Amino acid sequence: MSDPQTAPASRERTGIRLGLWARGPSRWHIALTVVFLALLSVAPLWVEASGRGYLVTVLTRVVIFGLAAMSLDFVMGYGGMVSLGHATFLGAGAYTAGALTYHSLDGSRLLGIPGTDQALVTWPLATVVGALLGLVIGGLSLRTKGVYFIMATLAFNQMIYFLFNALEIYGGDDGVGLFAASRAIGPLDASDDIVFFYVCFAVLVVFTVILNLVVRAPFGRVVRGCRSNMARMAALGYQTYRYRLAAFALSAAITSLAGAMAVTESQFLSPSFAEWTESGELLIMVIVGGLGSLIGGVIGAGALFLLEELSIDITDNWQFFVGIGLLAIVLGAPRGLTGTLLGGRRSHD
Amino acid sequence: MTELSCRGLQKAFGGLVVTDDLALSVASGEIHALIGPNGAGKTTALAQLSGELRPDAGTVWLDDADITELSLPQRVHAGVARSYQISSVFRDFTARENVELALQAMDRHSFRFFRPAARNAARAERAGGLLDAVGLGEVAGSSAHRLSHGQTRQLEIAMAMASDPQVLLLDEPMAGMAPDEATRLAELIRSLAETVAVLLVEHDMDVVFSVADRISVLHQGSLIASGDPDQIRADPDVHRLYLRDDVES
Repeated sequence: MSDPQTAPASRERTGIRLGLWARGPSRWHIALTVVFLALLSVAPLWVEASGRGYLVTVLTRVVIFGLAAMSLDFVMGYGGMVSLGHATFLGAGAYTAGALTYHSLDGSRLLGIPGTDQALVTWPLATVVGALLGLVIGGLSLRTKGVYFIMATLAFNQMIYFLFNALEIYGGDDGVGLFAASRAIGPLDASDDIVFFYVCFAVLVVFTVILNLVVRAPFGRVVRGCRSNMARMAALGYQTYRYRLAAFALSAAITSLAGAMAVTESQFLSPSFAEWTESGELLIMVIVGGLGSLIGGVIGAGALFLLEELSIDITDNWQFFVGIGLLAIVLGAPRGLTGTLLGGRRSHD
Repeated sequence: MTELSCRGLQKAFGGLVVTDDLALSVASGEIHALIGPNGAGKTTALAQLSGELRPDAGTVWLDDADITELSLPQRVHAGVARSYQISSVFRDFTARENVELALQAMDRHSFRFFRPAARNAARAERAGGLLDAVGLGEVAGSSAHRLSHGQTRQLEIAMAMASDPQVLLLDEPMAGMAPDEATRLAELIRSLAETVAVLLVEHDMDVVFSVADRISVLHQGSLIASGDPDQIRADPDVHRLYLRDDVES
């Protein structure tokens, strides 16, 4: 049979240095990623030109929640860690950015620090908070296995959710509007929805590249090996816990960034970001899009939001159609939309 | 010259004693076979030597170092590798990737995030060498799940060898193999044992008596005999409890 892994050494030198250029089956997966991102990049211009400009914010949400779903796919599809608690990090990012924004509008201080609505401050800070929270939650949850891991992540999710509910200063369970906040991203004023879309899209592209590199790098191989057979990884000499924890924290950090972006987008902070059904929705996006493909998370987010837009005119109970769609996929195309588009091809090296 | 040994090894699961005051040793250059009926505690003993299972009492030594407290991954880095009775290769990786993953485990760490793993030419070459050594050079690029049972067993050995171990613990490497495959694997193990200490748990008595330099017989967690193949063949206890008519002289 043909061997994609033993390309002659000469091609190593002529290939693109960055390393995203993959050989063999992986090439199709990267082609799909590029094509989908290209389509997404022109989508706002197209909806604007066709007189449905209100859809631009929907596309922005596809990008933001797609980023979160992609980072969930990283731990789930590649690392085999099924997290039913990723809304924890979405919420943590939202509350980090939202609280800073709230205090900047209010003129008050948060733990002695003045607030700010500058995304170049709130977004990176949310990313760091997400990483730290991921280390704590992952550190404890990864001591369990299988269904207990799922339950542990869910338990933390509930704790964080009720913590946010109890924060009366940010409106408790009602949340708080931040409509007076600017959408300043460095010197750029992104209050225009199209401009804001492209800012979010740029972030998505950066992390798509990073995660695609990571899953092919030595670190990614270890993470994938742990999904496949953890006991054997230990027998090869790997301290599996620390690699899985690092992967979980990386995913938490990116999801938290998405949470911060989401609150800047909606200009409304509420505990619903951290509701466990949000964790479920991210899971649905990943499974619809295709587990273990990265871009599948974004495709899944697109499919879900599109379905919502299409069916909301017909019925308020649009979730009914999501259910039908999800059943069709798990029964008919278990590798999701990505797997269907790529045929049986493997999505990584 | 390296020697793995244990003394006073004790392990019970609830009231069931599975390892009872076990003393064993295996030195480089020899194949020491551990045999015994099902449930005698062979795999449990192996798991305590490899570090997967903590003994209730007793000590495991690698030469003069007490390694009882070392975990499985730490023992691999110290030079003790093992293979599994049930093949546990990474099925969605190619044969080469399996060996590369085993080689990569010997790096100080794998927190390398950006350069593709597949682009490490030196590692690919070493993996190729190991695959050639076990006779899998031609199927290096095949997914592991496409390999035959015998080939999977060979891949197991290549992966165990990747850590360049001084001691190799093999848990029924011949299980389920066709006779000619088993013979080839026996030859391979024989050649490995020129430099490495091999502890072999095996059910195939023909293989055991043809390759082992020393044989120890476990029964209900404790050793009932230990010696060279001729001594074991002649031991009346071993015959009564285990060998019966399996081995004709």
